[in-house]
Amino acid sequence: MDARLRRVNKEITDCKNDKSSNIRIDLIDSSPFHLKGSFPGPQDTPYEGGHFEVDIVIPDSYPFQPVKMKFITKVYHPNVSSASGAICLDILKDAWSPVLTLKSTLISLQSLLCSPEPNDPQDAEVAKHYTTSKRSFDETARYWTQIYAGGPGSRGKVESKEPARDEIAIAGLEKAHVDQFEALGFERSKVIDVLRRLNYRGANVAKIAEDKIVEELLK
Amino acid sequence: MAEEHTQALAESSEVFMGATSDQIASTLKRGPSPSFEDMERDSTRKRFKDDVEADTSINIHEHPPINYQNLADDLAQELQCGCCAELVYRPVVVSPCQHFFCGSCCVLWIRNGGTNCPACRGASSYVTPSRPLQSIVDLLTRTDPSRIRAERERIQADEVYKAGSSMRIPTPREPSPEPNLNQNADYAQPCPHCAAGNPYGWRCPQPIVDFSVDPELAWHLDDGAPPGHAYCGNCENLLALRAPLTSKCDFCQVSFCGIGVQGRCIAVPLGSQHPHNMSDVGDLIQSAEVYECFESNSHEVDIMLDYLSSRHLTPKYIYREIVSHVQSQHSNFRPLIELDLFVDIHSVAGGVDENPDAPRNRICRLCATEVLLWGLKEWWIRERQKGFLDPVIASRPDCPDGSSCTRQKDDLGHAKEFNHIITPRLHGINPNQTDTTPSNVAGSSSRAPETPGAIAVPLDTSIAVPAPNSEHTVTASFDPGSDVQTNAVEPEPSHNSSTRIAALLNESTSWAPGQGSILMEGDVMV
Repeated sequence: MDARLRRVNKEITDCKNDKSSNIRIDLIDSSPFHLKGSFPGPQDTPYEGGHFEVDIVIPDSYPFQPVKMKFITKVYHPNVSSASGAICLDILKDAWSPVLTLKSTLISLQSLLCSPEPNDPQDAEVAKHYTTSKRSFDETARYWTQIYAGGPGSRGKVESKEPARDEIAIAGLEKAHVDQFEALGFERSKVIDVLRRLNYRGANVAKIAEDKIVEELLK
Repeated sequence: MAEEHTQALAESSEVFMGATSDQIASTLKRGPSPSFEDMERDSTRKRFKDDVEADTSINIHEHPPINYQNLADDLAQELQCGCCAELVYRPVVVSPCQHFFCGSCCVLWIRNGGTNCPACRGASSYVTPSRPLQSIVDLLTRTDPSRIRAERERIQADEVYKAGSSMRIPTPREPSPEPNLNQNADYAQPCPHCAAGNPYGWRCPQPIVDFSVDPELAWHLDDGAPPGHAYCGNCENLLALRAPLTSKCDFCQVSFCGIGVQGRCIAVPLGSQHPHNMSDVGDLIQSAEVYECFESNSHEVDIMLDYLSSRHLTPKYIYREIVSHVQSQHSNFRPLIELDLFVDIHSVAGGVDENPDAPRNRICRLCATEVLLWGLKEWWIRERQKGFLDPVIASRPDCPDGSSCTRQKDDLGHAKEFNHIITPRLHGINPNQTDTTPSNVAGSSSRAPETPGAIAVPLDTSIAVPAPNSEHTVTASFDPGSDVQTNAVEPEPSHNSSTRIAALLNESTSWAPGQGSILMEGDVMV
């Protein structure tokens, strides 16, 4: 339909002309139906200072079917898959309305970063982390923002050109816990994997018996 | 600052004071009222509004020169369709929230599964064309033809939405129930009415017991349908015979659940049913049975199909005329019943038809098709007598062998040369009583070969035409459950017939609720 192309072009132009919203929409190739959106991480969140890119695919029946969006930038968030970037947001599914636009949808993504919905998670492990220890979750999300979204270093240690990626911080774990099980002779990556899966954080540390962890490590 | 502003406005409006300012001045007499402005500020949430004009500060009490260009731009902005982001084209308004869209956008939203207003997502039912919006849009595009959208877009929109038609936004589907993993295929599952507190407001007096609840009391399917239950003729699920949603076809005696498939699992009053698989002339072309009705004389079928296409007559229209005709006959539907036309047409068992003279009020889709095929040739004979057929075709000599001619099927030359739709001349017909009266007896005796039951019926030419089924009513009535867009049956142009539109809209609201399909009728706009 010609109307679809006209509307998408108009949306791209409108977004370019709008200097106040900080939302950008760029072409990936020559097609206006595969785009890249980007926005800054919202202030007063662990995502502040980051620059988040979103892959946008306009379906054939747009705007009567929702636009397809997923994060290109890795995000640590209960409603975003930490592996694929898939987003769990109602307006991208059955709450879509044809009067929503690319810009308004990107703004919704931006505000999703402000207000996670751990009860309707996309990434269950991240959601568990969020509900177990908000402080620890924020730390991990901030670290992800720093290493993946170009955010500022929280502890002032990003000066080095290529910051060594701390696998323990990426997994949202405590170094002391990993060291403790590594000392028992288990491989570091395996320890990280098991501790992350068991959500060995915050109050859970006291609840999960060490035997149980060793059992998991031996599997 | 205000002065500067006024000056700027005056300048720009001077530029605009060209060819069209007089026209606008004469039609748009007043500027927006202050109360309207306030309202606008609150309610305007236009997502594409990029160039916010600075003229909201105009104090209209001082009557500054009106900037018509800005006014026209603002108006066009306000009248932008939220779906396609352009000046609305063939606007429709959603009830009750009053949001407007292009008719085509609304149709596409529904086709893509939309079950509410596209703008506010509020529950909404009915969508009707908006005359006032169309008038304003017409005014804008007349004044400035550059505001008309591209031709291709208009063509594409017109293919999707027939101007002037109303539609219904379907209600959201209920979530499907949790699958029951314990079910035993040998035992009957409870019907939708068996559970206490079911959403239909009626409960089976003898609910079916689920095998997983109590295997002792469960009903084994080898024993037939559970008491008070039967299988739906369409979806073949169990239904409760006495539930208010259940309807029974008075022809095949099969019941329909009213729940499974909207518009299909139902037997409806004769005049409102759609013959199954016969939604347009194309379906007639593809139906082998239609050719059988004409002794496989494909030439005569082609003549009829051309006639139907040129006069925009639908199978449903023919079906309704046949029903009216049969109802006007003394024997009513008895001849058809006696032919066993309606026996075993569903894969589920129906009830017993004890009295061939019992009144026939409701019909299912399959039986409607049987009625159509039974009466199609007779109808065609009556229709030809209206005199609209091409004289060249109508004046062909009758084949001496009549409708039982053996050459008509394979000998196209012969079929073209001779008429095989034999119209018998009957004695004693009142010459004034012709054409549109369903009690017209012409053609009754030619029915003999295929319908022996009908010939025994005494012809009663004194039967009055039943008024509700007169041809005009049939022609103008609404078409509720058509699967796609129904071509309106409209022999005469209907422009400017506002009373007729009103009648259509009134009638349309009285149709059974829950029809999921889009309603289309009449090109009445513009």
